[in-house]
Amino acid sequence: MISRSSCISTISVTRMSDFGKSIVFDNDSYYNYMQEEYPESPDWPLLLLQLSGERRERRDLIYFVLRSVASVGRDADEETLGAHQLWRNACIRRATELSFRPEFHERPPLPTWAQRAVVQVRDQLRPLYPQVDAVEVIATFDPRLHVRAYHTTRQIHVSLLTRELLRLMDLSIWNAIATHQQLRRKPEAVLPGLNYDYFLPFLLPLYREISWALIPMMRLNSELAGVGAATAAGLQMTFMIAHEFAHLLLHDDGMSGPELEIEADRFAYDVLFRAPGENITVGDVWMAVRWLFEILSIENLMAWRLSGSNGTPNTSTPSRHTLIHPFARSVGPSLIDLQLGGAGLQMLLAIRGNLEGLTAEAVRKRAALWTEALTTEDVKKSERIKMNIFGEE
Amino acid sequence: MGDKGLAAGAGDYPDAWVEGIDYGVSQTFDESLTCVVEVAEGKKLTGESLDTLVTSLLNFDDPAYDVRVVQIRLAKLLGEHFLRSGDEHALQQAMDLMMRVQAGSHLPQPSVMLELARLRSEAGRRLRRPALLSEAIQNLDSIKTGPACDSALEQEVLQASWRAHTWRAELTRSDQDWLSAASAAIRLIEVAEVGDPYISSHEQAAARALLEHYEITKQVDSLKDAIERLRRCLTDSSAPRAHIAQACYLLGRALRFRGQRSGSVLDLNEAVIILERAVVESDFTDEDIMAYLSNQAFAYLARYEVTMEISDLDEALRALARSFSATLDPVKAEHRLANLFNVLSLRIRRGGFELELLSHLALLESRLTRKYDPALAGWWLLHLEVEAYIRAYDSQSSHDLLLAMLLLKRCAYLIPDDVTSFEDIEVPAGAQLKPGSFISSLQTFKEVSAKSAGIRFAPTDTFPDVLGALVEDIRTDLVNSGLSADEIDACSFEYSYDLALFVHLDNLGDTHV
Repeated sequence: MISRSSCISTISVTRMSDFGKSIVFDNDSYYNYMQEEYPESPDWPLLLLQLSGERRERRDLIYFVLRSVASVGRDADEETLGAHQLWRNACIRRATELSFRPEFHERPPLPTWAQRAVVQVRDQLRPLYPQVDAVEVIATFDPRLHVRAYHTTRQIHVSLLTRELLRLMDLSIWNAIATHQQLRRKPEAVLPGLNYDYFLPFLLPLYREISWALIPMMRLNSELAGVGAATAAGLQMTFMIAHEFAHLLLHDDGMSGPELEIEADRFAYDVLFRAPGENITVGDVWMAVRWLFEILSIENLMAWRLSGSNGTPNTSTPSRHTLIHPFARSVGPSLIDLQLGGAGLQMLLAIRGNLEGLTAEAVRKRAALWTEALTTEDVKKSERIKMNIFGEE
Repeated sequence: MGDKGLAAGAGDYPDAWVEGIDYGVSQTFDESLTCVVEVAEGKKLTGESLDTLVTSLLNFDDPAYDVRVVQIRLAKLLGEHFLRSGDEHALQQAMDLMMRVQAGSHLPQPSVMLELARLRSEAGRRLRRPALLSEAIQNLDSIKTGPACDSALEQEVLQASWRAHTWRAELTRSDQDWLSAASAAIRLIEVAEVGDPYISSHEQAAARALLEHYEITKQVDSLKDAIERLRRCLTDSSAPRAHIAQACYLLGRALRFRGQRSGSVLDLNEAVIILERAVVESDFTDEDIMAYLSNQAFAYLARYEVTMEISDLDEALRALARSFSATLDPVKAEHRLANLFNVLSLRIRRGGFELELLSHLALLESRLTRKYDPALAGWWLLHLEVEAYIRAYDSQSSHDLLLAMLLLKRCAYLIPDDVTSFEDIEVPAGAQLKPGSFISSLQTFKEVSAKSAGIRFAPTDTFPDVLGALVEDIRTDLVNSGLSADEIDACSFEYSYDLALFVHLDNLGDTHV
């Protein structure tokens, strides 16, 4: 069994003695908003009535982010599931209340992971780029996988959904790795394969009219998986933020092209590999960023299939993910990092290969099934599509 | 200057080359010529038209016009073109033009001589011709002793002289050249004004030359002086990161030399730390980092020889693996491959489990199979397997046995059943193994394994027979030691090794599932 001591993410686990049955909290996200003492709004029913379409949409997005703070272990018992239900109820009330606060529309506060990423990047760049502090980083609820720089305002916009979706996809890989390790100890066991369907329901609200409040929750197969996913997502976001800093610090407004993207990637690699952060190894960085490019290419391909295209998106030349190779070779990740990162990379490549081999029609059909399952009131229909993705049979 | 346009010769410069230039009579001779050279700067510097231009400039002999400025300009242009493209014809033209200027009716100006020396130096380095560098050094010496050498010119001459001696020393390993390079750099420090930002660079240049001088002559004074100068360099906190990295690298090397000479662990400890700083300060994708890593490995190895601490050997391997993995230059890769291979052999012989060994072995296989035929890669690994096998049966440690079993399986996978000869195998420079016949390799292996495990082999046994029998033999020993067959499979290193191999290949761009 592979184990590792490093973790950046401040994850707290209730009832540590029995991880599989626990609720695990991700202190890096909006955990503070759920811990904050606040009086129960006496106007709660009234607030609900006042939720217009746009505000309801914002409430659902906030709820999705708040809900993502807590995950349930794979073997959670009824009592834990009940506790998690109470947590979700609290999240929806809190999200409703926050959706009435102007700042959650205009400028949502940066969660802990984003604050840490920004401090890390700024500290690293300040000696060479004193103007780095003039760049402002803003959180958004944009329903897209992106971080984007704006030259005119010297701002970087970070979508909070991006981090949560990346964490979910990283978690699915980490869960598979954890299961893989457990099953390897039984040589006769059939190791689970992965396919695009493990990502589809989580990404579906990006392409279809589905509320963010309805997408499935993913359980944790091990503590390693929970920590690994939060760490990977944090590093992936830091990489993307550093990449955008590069555009603002090195490039003029209006400039674009693959060379600039390559330069920004190199800049971001240098920031991360030079100072990976407390308790983070260069192997963690390699793994997170190598996975990131595969995840993004899967998401890109999925968007193509769902839009009806049977083709494959063009990749830049040279492919951006290859830029990490010289860094990976010279920093020398440890064997444990190679094993964990390599196992995840193989799975991601398999998922991409699986998706490439499918027609748009097949993927759209599957998406329709998921859409129906996620939006239906009929519990039985919803149950039919539930998957025990990584559980032992 | 008269109205002597190039209109008459315009036909010599086809439109394709001098596109956009109007050779009307309204242009002066200088203006026209300057235009042509400007066009040459933006165009390909080849073809008949260029040759014609050079010939015209070489043969131009009208004392009424001073064409030296244009001649020098075109010569420099041709020199730059040579440096970019390696076009020796351009180099020859550049030197002809320079010499034409030099041989003019007036005495050659020192600045012209300096340009000529620079051109010869660059050419000597590029073409690896010490004779050109010697000519450059002669030119520079004649300026130094000439009457018109003011302090600004002296600095330029010293710079050029330091370069020329350094480059010639790199080609000839002349200790005298290293001393001359050091003298030029030291003189540059002496003539520099207080606060000159280049002083630290000159210190570093002098220290490097002294260090190289020590390597050849073993004169301790040079080593001592180099260390003092490098320590001074590192007090300059405003220096660029690459400069600090280079100074750390040189100081680390110097301290290693001193530590090896005296057996001082303190020096070797400092060498390891300072070389780590060189690695940290360097650009991850720069060629320099590989040299820093290799030297860090040598410092660890030097300390290992004194302390015999296995952790030093492991750290040396780690640094060598990174250095080898990052090297793309085929010649350097060959040397680093040999270094990694030799230290891996030593590490396996030394015994004691270290998980990272699997990654280093997988790295070796990934690069060997890329460079060589898989069978030859298998033959290489077989040499490590012999070490592993002997070690496993000496120690009877289950980890050593599992490692030996893994290597046997890799060899069996890589060497096809029908291979009959390894006689033409390529062996990198520095590797401590020699090409041999299939039969002798097999015989060696049989002797080793039969001695270790008491297995009897028939003379007709093939490699697959031998490797298969040994795998089974190790498995039996592991079962006898109390492990179940399932436990052996679960504990085997194959899964870890496969993943490490996959990633090492991915890092080369060979992604596959």
